[in-house]
Amino acid sequence: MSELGRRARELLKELKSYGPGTLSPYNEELVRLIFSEIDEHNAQTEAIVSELRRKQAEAEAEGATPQQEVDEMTATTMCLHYECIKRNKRLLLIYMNERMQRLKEMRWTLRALPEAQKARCCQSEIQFYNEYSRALQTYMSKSEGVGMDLTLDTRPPKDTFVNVRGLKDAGEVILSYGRATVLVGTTISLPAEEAEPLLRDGTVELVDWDDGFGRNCS
Amino acid sequence: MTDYWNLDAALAEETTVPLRFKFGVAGVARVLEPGSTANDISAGTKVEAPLWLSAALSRRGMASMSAPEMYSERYRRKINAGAECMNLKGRAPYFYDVGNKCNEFMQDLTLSAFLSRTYATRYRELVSKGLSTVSGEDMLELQSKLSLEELSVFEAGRSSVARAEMWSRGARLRTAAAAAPSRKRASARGDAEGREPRQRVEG
Repeated sequence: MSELGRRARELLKELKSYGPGTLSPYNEELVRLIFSEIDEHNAQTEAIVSELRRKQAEAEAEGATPQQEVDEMTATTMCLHYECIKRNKRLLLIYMNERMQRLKEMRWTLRALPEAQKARCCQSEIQFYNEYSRALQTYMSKSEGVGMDLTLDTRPPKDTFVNVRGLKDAGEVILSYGRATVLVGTTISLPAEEAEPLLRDGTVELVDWDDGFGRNCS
Repeated sequence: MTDYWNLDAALAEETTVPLRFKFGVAGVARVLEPGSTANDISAGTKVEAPLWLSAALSRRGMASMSAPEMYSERYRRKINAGAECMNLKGRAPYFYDVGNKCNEFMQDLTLSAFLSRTYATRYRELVSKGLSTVSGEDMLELQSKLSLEELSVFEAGRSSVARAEMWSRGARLRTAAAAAPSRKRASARGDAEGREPRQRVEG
């Protein structure tokens, strides 16, 4: 028997409990159960309709005028099933949409799908992510698109190299020209696009410096 | 509560409300009325149904819903006596959303007045006071009391207080950017930084 969308509610609660920025494991089992619940509601509605048809046909066979009206109780029952179907559909759509938004958000902020999150996606979500990622990449590519990495640069760069100061001990980081050790207070100079991920996770902060000609002031 | 795609709005509609059927329903008694032995619900039966179902059936005139206990005279007296003492998170996490939705059907002016009065008191006593609270323990206690709507107001207030403090110290909002590096915020931050006193360090 139907459970008035109880399963769909559990599904959403599970996703909500994981908070923004992470995904809950894709609950295939529950989604399948919700689909079967919708089927069940549909079957019951159809049963009511065919029962009514049968009664009408009987009345016609007896020569009486067929009754077009249905009694209120049947109408309420049908509405109840209908609302349950609509509700389940809405909650499923919210579930899918919310996960899709979080995947997109990850593409923009993390620039890649972390393995831990990837393991929680279903097959079509991974496919969506890959295609979205490819579309974005094409848009940002030199040959077909704007030729800029749009996920970079929270502020416009003044120079290709920037100076950053360590805010926490992150140990050794590997840069394109070699290695550098990030400790609290050390200042290093590195290419802007390599600095960006470090700036985002709060390991380092940007240091402004004046070259004496006022060229590098922000 | 009108946004179809909103997760919280959908969850708020799961709150159960008392619902009285005008004509009865066939075949769902065991779900709506736990412990019932019959299959059908007879006309005039009162059950606890989720808000979304109650609202849909009430709109069609097939049933009539009333507000949950939380908005009853007894609770109203309790809340009026000390709105800031009530733990809404445990009892009614979507206190205002559900109240407003119920009111659409009941058109009870006293209920809307009650809701706005409760919000005003709680905002003054809890949310705005909480923004200057320093102790972590008080903060936790406070957060366990607020309804989810109040909590989001509170969180927004707290982050803006943090940003204002950061601004007055002349530091850069790096941590804020790391927490939510959206494109929009990034450009807004760039503007704000232009006005800040700059910190210069020899490179």
